[in-house]
Amino acid sequence: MTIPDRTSAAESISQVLIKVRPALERVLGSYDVPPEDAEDVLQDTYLTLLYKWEKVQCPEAWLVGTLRKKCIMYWRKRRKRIIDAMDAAILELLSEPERPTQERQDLSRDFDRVLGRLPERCQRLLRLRYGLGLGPSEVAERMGYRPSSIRKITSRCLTTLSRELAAVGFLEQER
Amino acid sequence: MSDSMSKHPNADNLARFMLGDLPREEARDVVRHLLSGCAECRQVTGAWWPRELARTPETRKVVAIDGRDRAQSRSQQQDYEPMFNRVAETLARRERAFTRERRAAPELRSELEALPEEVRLERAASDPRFHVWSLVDSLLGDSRENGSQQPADAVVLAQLATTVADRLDEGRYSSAAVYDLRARAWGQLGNALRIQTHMWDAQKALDVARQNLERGSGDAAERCRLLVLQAALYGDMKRFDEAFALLDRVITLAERSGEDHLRGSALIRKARLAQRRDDPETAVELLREGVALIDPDLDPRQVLVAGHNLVHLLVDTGRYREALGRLDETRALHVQLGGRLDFVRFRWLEAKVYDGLGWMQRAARLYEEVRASFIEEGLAYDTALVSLDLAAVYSQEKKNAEVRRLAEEMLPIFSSQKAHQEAIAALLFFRDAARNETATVSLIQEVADYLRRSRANPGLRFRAGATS
Repeated sequence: MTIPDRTSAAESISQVLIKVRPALERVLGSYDVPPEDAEDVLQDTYLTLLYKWEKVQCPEAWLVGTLRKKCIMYWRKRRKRIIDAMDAAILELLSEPERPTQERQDLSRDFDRVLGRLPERCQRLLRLRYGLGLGPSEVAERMGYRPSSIRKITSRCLTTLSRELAAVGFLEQER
Repeated sequence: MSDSMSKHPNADNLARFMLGDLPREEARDVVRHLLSGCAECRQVTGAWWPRELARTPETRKVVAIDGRDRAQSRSQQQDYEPMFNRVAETLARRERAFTRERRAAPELRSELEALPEEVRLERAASDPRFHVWSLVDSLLGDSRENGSQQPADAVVLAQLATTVADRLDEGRYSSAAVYDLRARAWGQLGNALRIQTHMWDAQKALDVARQNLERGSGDAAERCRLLVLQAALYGDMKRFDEAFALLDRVITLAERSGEDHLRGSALIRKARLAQRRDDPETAVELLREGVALIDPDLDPRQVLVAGHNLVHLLVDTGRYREALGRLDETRALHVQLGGRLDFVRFRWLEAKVYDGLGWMQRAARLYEEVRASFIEEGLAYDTALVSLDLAAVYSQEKKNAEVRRLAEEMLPIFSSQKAHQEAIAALLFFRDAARNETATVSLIQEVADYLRRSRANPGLRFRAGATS
């Protein structure tokens, strides 16, 4: 097997990019990645193709598929950052012993109110996590889950909680 | 109204919190405020909430959806032209640098290989000149090539590749591509270790490969490749169900992303597992399907091995006519791609086809030829096995003197190769039967069957008449 000449590979890449550009624009548009981040996503996709050129069978399909995946990963990462920040902040807030009693009571009431809007399973899990400060394996044991699946369940509950706090809200839903 | 409700964070802090850029202390204040249920601030944060992802039932593809009307028109108004142009310029620049790097790689490789073996890894790790993509690529290519022929070398090369890959500058290439390459390097190391039967270390290497892959481009082909390697390891560990399940996933993924070659590889792997599970019928079907999908340009050796194995399976399942029909094509592949010993093994297979079709003279002539080659190469087991095939032909033709000659010649060859005692006992049993002119075809096949099995399991005891 011979190694293709890189000059011809570069020319081929340029041709592919011209051909596939409308499809890439549609992907970026449909995932609505903010322009300030879209350039990084696109550049990473192009460069990945450059380094893997010889291993990619159908560059057009590969580019569209990879850009789509990167857009999905972009939103997942964004969401994870929010969830991690939310989780860390709640853990800190609820474990601060020096808070005045009134403030602690307010916090506890607000927190209970948010939890009350979540599915039963998430309420139980988050109470164990935040209320009793249990680690994932202890939560899994108390709730009867396999240790291997607790990460996924916790992540879903944290997402639901974060969405409730930062996006959906609960005041509008109150009747 | 509680205190936390009345103190609104400013819009900039809310936005930075939603982008994950806000320092911890301030993030805590934002969360406290949101917990109080402030609708006004939630409107601000809500606009920054990431788009939801959902799988559409029609296309089964993940799409971004958003119930809110924020920035819905953003994509329609977007002018991507300047962005595409800038990225194309960057690509052209990187491409030129990559070409230079590729040209310099052989020299770097020679420099590295000129070093004493004991300092090579350390130097590859500590000297940044070696931390280049093309060097990893070249090491991996050779490690794969060495795979089954020189497994120890394959491990050494893959270790060098992982050492360099782990130190590649993500900023210089593309972070996703670098993680993919690291996954490939660790995957290759795992596979090379598997071939050397270091199963535990192989699994550890594949675990590292998987962790890297999770941070990579999400390329389905990369994922498939790793799953195939994991399935091979499970197969060697006799965890067949898990191996089959992984290969089924590969086949689905490869089919979905139009990766025919990968699908073919997975089918061939599945065939190998089916064969080891003593299910040759299924193996034949899988192999036939797999061979048709393999791209000879991508992996010519695999085409050769799969084609050869297919003929082998057809012989094992008694489909000699079909095997005969595939001989010419397989012979051509051997001539083009195989080594000398590969070709001798092909000739052995060819003899078996003729034998199965009842073309005794032709079969005997070829068996003799193959036997001579094996003796020349000093391959005692193979010599014994092909001698037994030949003896079975002579036995059918009532050429007892020829059977006896073979039996007498086999023992010294076999004994000189430090064969285990049980195997020698089996051959002594055959020799005695040949001397007494009682070496029937079924007796010969029994001895041959024992030798085949005891090759992989030297502790296996020979019991005359056990299979009758």
